[in-house]
Amino acid sequence: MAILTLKDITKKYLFKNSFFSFYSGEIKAVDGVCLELEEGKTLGLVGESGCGKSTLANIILKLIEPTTGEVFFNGKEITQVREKEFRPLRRQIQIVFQDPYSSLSLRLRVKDIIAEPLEACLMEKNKILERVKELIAQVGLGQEYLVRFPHQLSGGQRQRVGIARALATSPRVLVLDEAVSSLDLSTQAQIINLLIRLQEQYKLSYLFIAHDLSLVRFVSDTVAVMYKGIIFEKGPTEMIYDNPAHPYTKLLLNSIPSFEKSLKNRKDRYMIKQDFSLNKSEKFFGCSFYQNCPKPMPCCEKQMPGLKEIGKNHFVSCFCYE
Amino acid sequence: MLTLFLRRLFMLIPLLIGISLISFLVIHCAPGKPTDMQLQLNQKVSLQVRERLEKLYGLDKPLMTQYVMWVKRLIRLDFGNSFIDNRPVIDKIKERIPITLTINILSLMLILIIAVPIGVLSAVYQESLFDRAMTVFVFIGFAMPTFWLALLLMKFFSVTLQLLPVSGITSIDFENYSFMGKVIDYSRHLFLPIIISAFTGLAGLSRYMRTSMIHVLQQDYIRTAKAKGLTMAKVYFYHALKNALLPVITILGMSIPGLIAGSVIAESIFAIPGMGKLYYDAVMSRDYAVIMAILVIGAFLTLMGNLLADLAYFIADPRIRVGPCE
Repeated sequence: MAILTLKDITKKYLFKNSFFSFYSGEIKAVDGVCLELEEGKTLGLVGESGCGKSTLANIILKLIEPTTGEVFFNGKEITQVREKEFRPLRRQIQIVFQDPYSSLSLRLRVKDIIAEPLEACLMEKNKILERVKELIAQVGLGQEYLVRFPHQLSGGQRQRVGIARALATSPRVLVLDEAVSSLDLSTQAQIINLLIRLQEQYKLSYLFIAHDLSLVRFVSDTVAVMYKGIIFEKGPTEMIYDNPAHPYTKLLLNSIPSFEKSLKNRKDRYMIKQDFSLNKSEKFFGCSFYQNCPKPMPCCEKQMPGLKEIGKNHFVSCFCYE
Repeated sequence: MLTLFLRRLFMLIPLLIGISLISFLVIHCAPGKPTDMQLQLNQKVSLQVRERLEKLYGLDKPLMTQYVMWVKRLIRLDFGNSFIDNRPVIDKIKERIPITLTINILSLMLILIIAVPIGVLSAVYQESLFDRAMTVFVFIGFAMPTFWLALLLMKFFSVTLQLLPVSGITSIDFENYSFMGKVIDYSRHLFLPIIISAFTGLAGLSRYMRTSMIHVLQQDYIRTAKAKGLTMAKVYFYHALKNALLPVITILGMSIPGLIAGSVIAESIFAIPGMGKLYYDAVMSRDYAVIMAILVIGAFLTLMGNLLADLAYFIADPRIRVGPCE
């Protein structure tokens, strides 16, 4: 059974061109996203910058409210729940934020940063320090870091503090928003191994948001590909990586640098030719990938294709498979 | 840290010399002399008497010599004697300062108690009805002429309701009251001046608090605090307010000199014998000694206030704090 289910999540942002203009448009940061995260599994979410991955993460954490749609945690709808009633659930859903510089309170010492979620769920005082020491060791930092302030740490060290903080309450769902991107490779491996070990031990579920496609392949059980707020393709990791169906997924996977062939010589390398005026215009109802698609069809210009199951649990949103 | 503090302290000396020199020159440029009060009333005073009087006060010497003499006395913390009644200036200030200090400290405390919550709540419930109502409220206070508001409140509380005394700081039979009676008498007299000076000073601090808080609430670490599952009260008052209070420290530092400078208008209306009244009278009679004493004390407190604000910044912000942590 899925521990976390997103149903038709849409988040619209209104914008004004200038202070005096009456015209205001809207941007769909997230557009009709449906995802399921199975208990004890990892869902990889990939997509380029600005495609709405972090917005989605914040919606799951109930830090921003979706315009429409529902989020089910453990079978319970949470977007409509009031903050006060949701608070006990917060210890079960935690997040590691993307930016390790701004997301740590600059006036708290590391030990207080990690201890705070524990205090919030009313853990006994004498147990807290023990737990904090255990956590800081788990993410590979020495005990001497406990009394430091965030500004005395490097980006990678801060990120590890963020991870320790997120793990503190032993959450059931952990959203990792580019959590290991800022770490060096050896630390990255250490953290990934820690996450995998915790997953095996406690049946944790991860929503792994990243742009490192090889890493996503390594950790994820299922993968979802997002583009401009829309899920283009989702399915079991092996199926997506070995047999990508959507042209965007193909382009993404082709962009992974490899030793065999250099990027320059590849004919099908991904070229972005984004036209933002088209993106903002409300008249365009076609596929959002239409402009960049290598094989556009006439029907792609008229409407957005829906998700269609083409293999077992493998969904694609493209007219090529209609 | 300590050396920095000492260096800043040392830097105050040239600043003080500059400030005192300029104010000394400006005051002496003003038309009229302290001797005028004694001489103009009596037209028959001879030239010799006039010269003798000026010599007595040292007014016949060149301006620079007068300044040096004044500084020499100041170094011994001697502010000289008043030109008007020949009493030591320091005594005149001493008897005026408690009342002004009381009014200003109490009103500053009142401002803090009211303005900080207003600012915080306005920021948390930004653009809400509360926020808008408070904006209007504090700006009414800011824009309201003190004397007009004072007169209205005096009429309402003292004449219409007969609740409070009209003016002064003590009742006529004050000497006969018990200790508690004296306290109550004081508070009845000081109630209106304190309320008025707090109401008119509310805008600055609460607006500052609101802006600062709004800025902090947008920070990522506030989002982190929410995601941790902390109660909203803890997010706002522990994580956010702690950071938002920093700029307010600066404002508090700058309000230290204001504590001893009384308000001329309010003190005149309520007939309060405070610093404002003393300063006003001194200016009108060109009582150089008193004027210079108040100006120098004010300048010194301004500089100290800034220094203290910086010092408080050091203590409050872990990033500025230098030296090993534990």
